[in-house]
Amino acid sequence: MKQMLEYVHGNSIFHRLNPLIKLIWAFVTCVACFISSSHLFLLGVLLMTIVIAGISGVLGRAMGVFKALLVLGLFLMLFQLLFTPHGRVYFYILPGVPVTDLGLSFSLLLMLKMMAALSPLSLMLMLTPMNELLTAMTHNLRVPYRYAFVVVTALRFIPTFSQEMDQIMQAQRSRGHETDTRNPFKKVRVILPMCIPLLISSVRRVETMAISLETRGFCTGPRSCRKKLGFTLFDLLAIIIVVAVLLLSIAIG
Amino acid sequence: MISIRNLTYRYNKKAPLILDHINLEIGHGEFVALIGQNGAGKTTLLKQLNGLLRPSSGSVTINGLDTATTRTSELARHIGYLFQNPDHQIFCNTVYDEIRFGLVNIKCQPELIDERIRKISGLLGLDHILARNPFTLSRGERQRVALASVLALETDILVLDEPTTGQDYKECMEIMEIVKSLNEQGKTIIMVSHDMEVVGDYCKRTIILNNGRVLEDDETSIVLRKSQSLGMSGLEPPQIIQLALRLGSSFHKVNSPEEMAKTIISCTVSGGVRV
Amino acid sequence: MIRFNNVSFSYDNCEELAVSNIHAHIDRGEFVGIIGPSGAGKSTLVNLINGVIPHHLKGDFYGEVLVCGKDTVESSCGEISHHVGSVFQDPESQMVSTVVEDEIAFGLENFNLPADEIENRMTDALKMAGIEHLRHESTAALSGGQKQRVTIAAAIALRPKILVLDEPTSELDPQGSRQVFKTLKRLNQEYGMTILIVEQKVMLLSEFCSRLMVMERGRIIMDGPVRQVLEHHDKLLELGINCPRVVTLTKLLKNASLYFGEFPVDVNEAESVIRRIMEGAYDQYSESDLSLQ
Ligand SMILES: Nc1ncnc2c1ncn2[C@@H]1O[C@H](COP(=O)(O)OP(=O)(O)OP(=O)(O)O)[C@@H](O)[C@H]1O
Ligand SMILES: Nc1ncnc2c1ncn2[C@@H]1O[C@H](COP(=O)(O)OP(=O)(O)O)[C@@H](O)[C@H]1O
Ligand SMILES: [Mg+2]
Ligand SMILES: [Mg+2]
Repeated sequence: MKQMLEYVHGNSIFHRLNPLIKLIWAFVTCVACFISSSHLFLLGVLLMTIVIAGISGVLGRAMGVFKALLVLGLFLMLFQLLFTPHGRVYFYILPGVPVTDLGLSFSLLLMLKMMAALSPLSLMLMLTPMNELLTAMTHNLRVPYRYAFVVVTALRFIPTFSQEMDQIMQAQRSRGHETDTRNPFKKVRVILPMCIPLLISSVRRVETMAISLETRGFCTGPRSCRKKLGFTLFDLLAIIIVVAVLLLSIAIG
Repeated sequence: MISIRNLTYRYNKKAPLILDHINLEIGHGEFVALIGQNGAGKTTLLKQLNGLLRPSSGSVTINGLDTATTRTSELARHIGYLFQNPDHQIFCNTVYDEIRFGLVNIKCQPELIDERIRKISGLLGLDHILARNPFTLSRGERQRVALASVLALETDILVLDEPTTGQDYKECMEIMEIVKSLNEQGKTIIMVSHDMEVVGDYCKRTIILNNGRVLEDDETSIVLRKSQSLGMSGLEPPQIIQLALRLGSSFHKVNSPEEMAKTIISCTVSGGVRV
Repeated sequence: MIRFNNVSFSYDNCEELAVSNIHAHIDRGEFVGIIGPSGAGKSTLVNLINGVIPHHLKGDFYGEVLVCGKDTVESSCGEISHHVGSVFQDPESQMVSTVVEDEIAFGLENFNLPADEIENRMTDALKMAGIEHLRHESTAALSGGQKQRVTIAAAIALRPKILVLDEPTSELDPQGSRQVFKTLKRLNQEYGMTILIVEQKVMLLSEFCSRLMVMERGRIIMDGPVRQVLEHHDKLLELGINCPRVVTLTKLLKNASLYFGEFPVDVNEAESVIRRIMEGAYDQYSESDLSLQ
């Protein structure tokens, strides 16, 4: 989980892209994928995401995301498959539960949609430092700093939580608790009781962080930003591609 | 008892090597200090000992169990592990439950559990706060709660990552005296510390870890005199040893203020005779 | 610069006073060390200066604390932050960013500094804390000591008029701790920064601070120049406060009537004392004659 949303330092062309463009790209692609119902288009978007991940040198991490999405997608696909009785029947999984061509096509579409729509979001977070994201939101989108900070910090807390959970599990394991069991049912039983300590420790953490924020001048006046985020030719190119993708998705339908 | 062979480790494939071909043997009943710069890999090495991290290559064997194939929860019967930050370790709602947690896991008999908790909390001066929530305690107290929860398991190896940070001098001495008496009862102790005086006073053997490699590994009083190795590892000898090194050969066995005062007195007396 | 007028404070969920009847005055440009057993109220004292008490931690507050002439109750925590920089005890929870660089830039951006100034100060602070190589690292992947260095760098970069630090070197290696004290000394001398540091490493406090405060059970029980406080080493030991080993040694030498002068505060001074003793420079009679004059 923490791997999926965390920024990976790098200096590739996509790292240097204006964060606003990346933000727009992620959201537009997401919308486009939901509009579209073309297998080919979705596959294309997915391929594009993989290529971008490859060029930016985060393919390893991205593959983890794809894998997680694939598992989720397969689940969805299975459901969709079982509950679409229309169309030509290929065979019966169980008596009365057919697998049809329509069902197959639908469920495949759903899975592709999910993967193609969500992976750019996660990739965007991997390629954009939190503070640039903040700058894009406050300077370009005119979101008040306080709210932008809350959004970004909430995102940041996801990996922090999973890390904290990891730490508690390590602590339990080192005192003989079998959190390292392979049995998934046992695992759930082990993880559930951890939610409360996790909650307590995160509340405490948020409190200390609030103190730390204030003693470092959070929201006490106008704020400068360290990086000038200019638009380059490449940014222009990128925005054209993004618009083209959107149009394409509408055109294909 | 603990045997580390050609151990290397990196946190992920692209990351640099944190532990670089480490070879160590630690026998029964030893009292070992592991020292080195911030980021040298001390915590990483300790976590290898109970399988919280597993070797990238090489092997770690504890009492004959290979950590690569043994679960941490199983190793917990042999090794007690104190985390560097007590907050990483404490997760129960009361101090009592915190200490009890491990005892239940190792299937300690219910009648014995309460007795053991009382014993250990008495030893660490926690009796009056057994019912408190650990998160409302001071850092020093939290550290002792964490330690109590580890000691309660009565394992024969204790791995302590900076057990005295956040403690005042008196608490620090108390903890070290407890650790020392455990060692005298035959337990093996491996601890990390940045306090050279604690290391010098209590640990018998000292290992310097530098950039993931073992730089020195010898008797403490010998290692703490290796100014060069210490210097390149972000460390410095304790004040008295620094003085002893500067004052020359008649001080080469001096480790404590008392010994040094004695030597100076004998020098001045003989000096008086000389003139 | 900082003035405590009969200050007492008790936390909401605790009847006992965490600090009581504090009277103290700290001038501009002082470098003050605070030491005391745990629970003595050191952190509470520090939090009274940076406004965390009473703005974040609630309780019964008596007396007044003036920082740069202003009452801390009347100014907000954010306003105080423009004069007072803080480093808290627990490095982990005080970090607000996921990347080292952002963590240090955070305060600088809040204070609306221009980009190139931010860059300069950031580079400077990273160097001072000895973590230049960690600039782009994720804060989650740091060792304990490295995290602590980041929080120190973040506070130093702000170059506040007053800097308060609560056990900032507890997880640092010996050279790292010394480096931090050296840096603080430099800031103190170059910028006239007023520094208050809570520490358990009495050896470093004696070497670097000009003034030492000893706290016990909510009170400041000793306050004065370092050497003067170290004279009371017996009292300190009784309170469970360590004194530097060179002081312990000197005490033994004094007991043996070999030395009568001031306490040395570091190894260099101790070395010269011992060399003079061994050369027979401290003849009992001439020394006591001297002190009579
Ligand atoms: N979870 C992690 N992921 C990636 N790198 C890590 C992780 N934890 C530690 N490191 C890196 O490994 C190196 C060694 O860390 P380790 O915690 O073992 O240091 P240490 O010797 O215990 O230092 P300290 O004295 O500061 O506690 C450091 O450079 C650190 O940045
Ligand atoms: N947040 C808090 N809530 C309640 N009591 C506290 C809190 N912080 C500290 N105390 C209490 O105040 C006293 C002084 O604590 P503190 O200032 O943290 O001491 P020190 O920093 O010297 O160890 C202690 O008795 C402690 O239990
Ligand atoms: Mg460590
Ligand atoms: Mg404190």
